[in-house]
Amino acid sequence: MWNNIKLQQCISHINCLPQLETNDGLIQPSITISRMTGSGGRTVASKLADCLQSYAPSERRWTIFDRNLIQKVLEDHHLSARLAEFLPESGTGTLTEIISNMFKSQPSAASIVKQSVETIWKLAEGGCVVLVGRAANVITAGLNNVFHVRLAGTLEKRVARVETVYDFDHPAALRYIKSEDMAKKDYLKEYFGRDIDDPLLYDLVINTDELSYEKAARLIADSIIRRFDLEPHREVVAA
Amino acid sequence: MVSTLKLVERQLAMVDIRRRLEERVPQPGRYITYEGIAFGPCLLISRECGSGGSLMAQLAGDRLGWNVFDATIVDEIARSAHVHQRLVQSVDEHVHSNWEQTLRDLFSDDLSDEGYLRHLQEVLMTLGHHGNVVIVGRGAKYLLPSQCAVRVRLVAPLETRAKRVAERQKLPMEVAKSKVREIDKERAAFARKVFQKDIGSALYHDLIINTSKFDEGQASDLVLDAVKQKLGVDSLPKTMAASPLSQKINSSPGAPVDRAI
Repeated sequence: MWNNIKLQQCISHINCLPQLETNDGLIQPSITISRMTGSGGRTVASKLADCLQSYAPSERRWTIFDRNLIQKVLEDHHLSARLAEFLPESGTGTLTEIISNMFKSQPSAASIVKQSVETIWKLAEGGCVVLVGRAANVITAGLNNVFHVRLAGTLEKRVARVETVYDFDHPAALRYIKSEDMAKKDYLKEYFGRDIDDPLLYDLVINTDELSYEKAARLIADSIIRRFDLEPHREVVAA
Repeated sequence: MVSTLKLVERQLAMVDIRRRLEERVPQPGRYITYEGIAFGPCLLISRECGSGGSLMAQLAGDRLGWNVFDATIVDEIARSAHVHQRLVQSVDEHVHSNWEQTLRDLFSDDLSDEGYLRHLQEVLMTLGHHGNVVIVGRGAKYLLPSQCAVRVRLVAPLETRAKRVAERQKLPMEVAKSKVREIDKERAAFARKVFQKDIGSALYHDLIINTSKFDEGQASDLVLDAVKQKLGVDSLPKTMAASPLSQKINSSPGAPVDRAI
């Protein structure tokens, strides 16, 4: 499970970005996934990247940045510097303005939050990424190439999943879900002044209680293919 | 009222055909409860005013070949003793007596036997039991088993919705805005009063679609994909759907326009 969510893939993705500016004229979509804990965020992201890979330009690879991987990029100065190179001149003004507006009422917001805004923005702008969590939907709300999804589910079903995946007993799973959900809600509220459950922050909210992760990923992928008019690359067509 | 009765007759004729087919080949999307009662397949649409619910219901209904029962039509059936009776008597006695208990458990003393709400719930249960139907609003998603339906909610920013309503009804923007707010409030109050539920909660829907981000075609394709993925029911390609006859019957001439948005 999640075998395509790897730091190595993220590093390769970032290292390739500056070159793409010159040879990749087409707009490539990105996806943000916000999720209730236990509703399948990483699994859906992983399957989604697989579904969309055949629609990416042949030199690109759909890459997943979850909360941990975004954190690692932030902590790695080399990667951050590499990412900074990608930012087009015209975009710099926009991004600086956006960050300053975003935190107008929060001038004291932790610099790590401001840095993560910059990182997430740049990753999304480059296309072919799935960004899981970290308020990526709010941060990239102004980018036309980004599709925003939220995954939801009843507490009962999510607890059952967390028990299985993390091998928790029922009370531990319940505690874990409640504390994670609260932390995510607070993060969005505190730094961005938004309510994580507001459906208008997303293009699509999917309840994974009765739609398998595979089917949820397929639904999102098909929507993106239609929205951005994507076509399978040559190898797939030939096959 | 004539068109409502016609729609009910048409739906019952379809049910009859489906039953005959079912004897030969199982039909996709049917869900059987523990009590052995079949429901679905259904598409249940809930919507914020001005988010495009009626159009979505029509587009999806045409491509699925299913009749559309919007909130006004469902209300008309519930209020007309004759039409209500015609629909409800199409249900087998043992199924009906099973519902008696379900409805009593759900709504305890709130419902008198002949009351409107009681009829409304019987109408929704009957439509859900027969299946192959699109139902817009009226809380069907709280009554019918979630496994038998794709439950969709359509939302959009207030400005976008008010603009649509203003254009369609030729109203000043401010008037449209307050109308939209008022209808949303009524619908939320209905869900709260009758079902004690939060109308917008993601937990009662399979999909919530922000229609300001999709064009009509993309949004209906998405819903039909969900019907295929969850219920295994295929839809017709766009070019083969939409018979003018079904549109004529499905639209209720007496329906106030602002309730049908």
